[in-house]
Amino acid sequence: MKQYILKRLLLIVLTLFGLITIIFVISRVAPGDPARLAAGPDATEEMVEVLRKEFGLDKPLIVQYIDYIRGLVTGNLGRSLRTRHLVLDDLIQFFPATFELTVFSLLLAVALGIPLGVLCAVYRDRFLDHSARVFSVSGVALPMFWLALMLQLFLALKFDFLPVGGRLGMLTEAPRSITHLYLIDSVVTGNWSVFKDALRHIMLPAFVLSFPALASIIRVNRAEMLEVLNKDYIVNARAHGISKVRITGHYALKNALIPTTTMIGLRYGWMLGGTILVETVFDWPGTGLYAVQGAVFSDFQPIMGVALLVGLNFMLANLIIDLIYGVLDPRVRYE
Amino acid sequence: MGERNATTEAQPVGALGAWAQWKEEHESLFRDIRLSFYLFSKSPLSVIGMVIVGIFFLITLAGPLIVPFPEDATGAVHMAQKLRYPGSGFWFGTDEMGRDIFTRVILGTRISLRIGLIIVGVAMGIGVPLGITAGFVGGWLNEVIMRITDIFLSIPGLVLALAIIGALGPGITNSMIALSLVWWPGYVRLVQGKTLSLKEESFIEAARSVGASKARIIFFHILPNCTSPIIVKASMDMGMAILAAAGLGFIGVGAQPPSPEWGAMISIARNYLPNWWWYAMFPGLAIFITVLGFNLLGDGLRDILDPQSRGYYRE
Amino acid sequence: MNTESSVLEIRDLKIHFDTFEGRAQVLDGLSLRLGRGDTVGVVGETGCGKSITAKAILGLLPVPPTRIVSGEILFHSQDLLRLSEKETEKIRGNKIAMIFQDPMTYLNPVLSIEKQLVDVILGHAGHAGRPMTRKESLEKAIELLEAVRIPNPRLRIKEYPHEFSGGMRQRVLIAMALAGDPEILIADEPTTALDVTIQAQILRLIGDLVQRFGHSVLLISHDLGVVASVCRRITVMYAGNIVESTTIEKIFEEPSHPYTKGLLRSIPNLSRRKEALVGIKGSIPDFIDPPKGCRFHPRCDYAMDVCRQEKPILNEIDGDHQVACFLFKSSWFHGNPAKYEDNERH
Repeated sequence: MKQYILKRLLLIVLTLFGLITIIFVISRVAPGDPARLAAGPDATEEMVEVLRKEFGLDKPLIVQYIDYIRGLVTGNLGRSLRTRHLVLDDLIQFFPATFELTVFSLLLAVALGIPLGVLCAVYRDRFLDHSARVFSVSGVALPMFWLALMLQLFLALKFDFLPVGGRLGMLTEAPRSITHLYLIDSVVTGNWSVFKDALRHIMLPAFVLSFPALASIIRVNRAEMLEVLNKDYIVNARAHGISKVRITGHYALKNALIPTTTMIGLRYGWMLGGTILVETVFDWPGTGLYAVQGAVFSDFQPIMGVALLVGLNFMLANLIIDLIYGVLDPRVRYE
Repeated sequence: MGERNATTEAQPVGALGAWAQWKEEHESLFRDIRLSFYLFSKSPLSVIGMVIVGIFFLITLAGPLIVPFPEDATGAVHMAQKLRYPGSGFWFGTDEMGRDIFTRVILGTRISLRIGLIIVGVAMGIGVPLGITAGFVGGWLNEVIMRITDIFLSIPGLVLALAIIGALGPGITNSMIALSLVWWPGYVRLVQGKTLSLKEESFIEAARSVGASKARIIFFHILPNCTSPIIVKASMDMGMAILAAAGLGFIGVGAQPPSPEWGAMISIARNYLPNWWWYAMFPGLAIFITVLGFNLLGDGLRDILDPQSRGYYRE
Repeated sequence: MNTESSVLEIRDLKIHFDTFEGRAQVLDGLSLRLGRGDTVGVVGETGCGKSITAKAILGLLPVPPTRIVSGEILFHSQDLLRLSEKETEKIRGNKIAMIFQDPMTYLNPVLSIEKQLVDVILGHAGHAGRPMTRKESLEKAIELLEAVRIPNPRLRIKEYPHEFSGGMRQRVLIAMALAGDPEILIADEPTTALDVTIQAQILRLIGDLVQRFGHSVLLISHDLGVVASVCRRITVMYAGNIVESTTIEKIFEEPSHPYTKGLLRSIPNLSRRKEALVGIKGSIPDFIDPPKGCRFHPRCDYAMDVCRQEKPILNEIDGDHQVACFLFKSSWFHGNPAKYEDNERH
């Protein structure tokens, strides 16, 4: 088991290197002048040249690549043109917000999605199933940024039910930083008013971010439950008098969760990508917003840094998912 | 059935006879088609999807002919009419330059269609041949191709697209390039897997044993069996590609104003919330309905063409 | 065979199935009797409705698309078809237990053998009003595995189905069936999915268990040989009807129904050399548009006019030998069920 995890971690590192290589190749092979882009449309030739030197863009491709890798290994991800900070420092500052948001959204999607999927399968073709089906189908098609805007419009701007954006109200002080996750820190320090405030602020972004995932999970779990409930071993369990509740909740669900877990992993990836859109709408100070600001300013280093961070995040999540398979399905255990 | 004895049955002659005979021989194909239509029509959602996509295509074709203010799609400015509430004359209201939003949304379908077709087309064009090659040839070539594919799939699509755009610079062409690069690996995986499993089938072995060339095997045996899952994936991907492109447009790195691309429109509309809310609502609705249509259609197609697959590739 | 000692009685069961192409009339007035301590084999080709009959007894058929049109299944004079789901749950495994065909697919792949057996045992204990502790049920599970001759049961019970061989898995299914101390065992093609050598072992096991514990057995198979090795009575089924029912000896000595005769003739005999393989001409009927009258008549060498119009009903032609065929004058009563009762009283 340990060997397996180590092997996977090594694979992750190699993949990240591969990713950097690919992006590097694309950026340098493509037409266009990165220095000019970064300098902006108003820059003079001298300014462009200065930037070119500063970012080593005048050196040959291979040298640039090696420099970047060397920098990466020592923890230097470059410097942001816009914030003037080291990208690494910026990432450390912004990551907790995104982590809190994505994990909260994932938990929301899973905690609601799996039971709803089961219920839809059990009460097939009833009202719940049909409404969930409509929701599921539209949930994936709905543009996250548009949903975010519409909800922001109606719930926050027009009717002031929930805050418009940010992680905390303007006058609220952040809790003492232990995990840098406001929800956890405020509970741990017993600061209930801050907790409430943080919860109110995370509601909308988390709901929007989890929306497509929730839709997919309900759908997949329902479909898998239906398929599993038709299997012979379920007939066998019924034939021996096992109660319907136990059959649904245990005999069938454990089997159905296996493909559902795959979907959860996939959807987590889309969630990570969705932070780009949702954080923008809600001014959520996370890595997604950081990357978007970088993109708008043609500031490449931050974008690269965020991409690597998200890639790492996603691959670690997939590793955890593969370990979960081992728990659910004994057939894959002794690979 | 035994041989048909032409002398004992009265046969219609000539072309009619040939047609009748062809119909007879392809009886099972007709039955399959009838069954497919029956199954498709059984699912009202699939039919709705097909209708939506049909309307979408009609609008792209007829768009410029039916919109009230075609010049608003490009650079026209009518400051006197800016930010009008939806009403007579301007069904979706007007934007900050006084342009008719309805016109721009309708003409935006052409842009979305172009984006979708190019992204999916290029992705298929790269992914399918690579996938077949990897699966068919096997060995180290397969390893190399699949490892590269894995690298592309190791990072969520939107983030990879953003990184590529960061490297290339903003713009609609670059966003299409970026998204094509995001989508091709899905096809490689799909086709490689299918090719691998087909390779083991006995009919391939049979073909090879009678001396069929590799090319013949690929084009006559493997490719036709891949078309069903490819079609299903392509129709689902159309919707998702349009959605992703709109997302990039919303951030500001995709289509640029004054192009009536839906995402770009919403990005500007954001500044005019909450008072002029309709500006953001209608383009978003258009995205939603379009993507929904393609998703429903893709689902319906999957149910009849490829029921065993569960669509766990990059949606 | 008198009605009083029958443990299970199926009366005139009609079951239809809704399919894409129409309504399949699968069971068309099936009647069957199982007496206490009887071992009855149900033989018929694939698709004749044997499995459906078995599943109907335990209420395991999904109700749309299945329609139970008419008939009764009496278990100690309780009609199983009229029971609620909860009441049926009490009977399943507890009073009537089923052993299924394919041990590969009938065991839950993600749960250990222990989990699956213990669940069943605890469930039965609960239904019988004598709840057990987990420890007690584990002990009972190990005992059951010993009874079905699985080596090292204490160790192997912790394992998962994919770690067992086909024969072992079938033994586990049998152990599961024994868990509730049922009165009736229904075995649906218990050896079809197994190798020939394992088949013999399993059949011997079933035979021994039946002798030891005295269950009444309904053994379903398409293989006459399988049935002959365990059962004392045999029932021949064709296209949703019972066509002949008698003892094992009589079926080989005096097969009466033309279908039975065809079946026996088609068994290749290795001792008689140079003999062409004989089959029964034609194929099984389309259930959606079944033949009028006797369902076998299109394939029957002896078909008469009446066979094409009326349906023959099972009737006694000899002590303990019933046939549904117009060749036997006693069946000549135009399919009127009232007359069936009449005949009984003589």
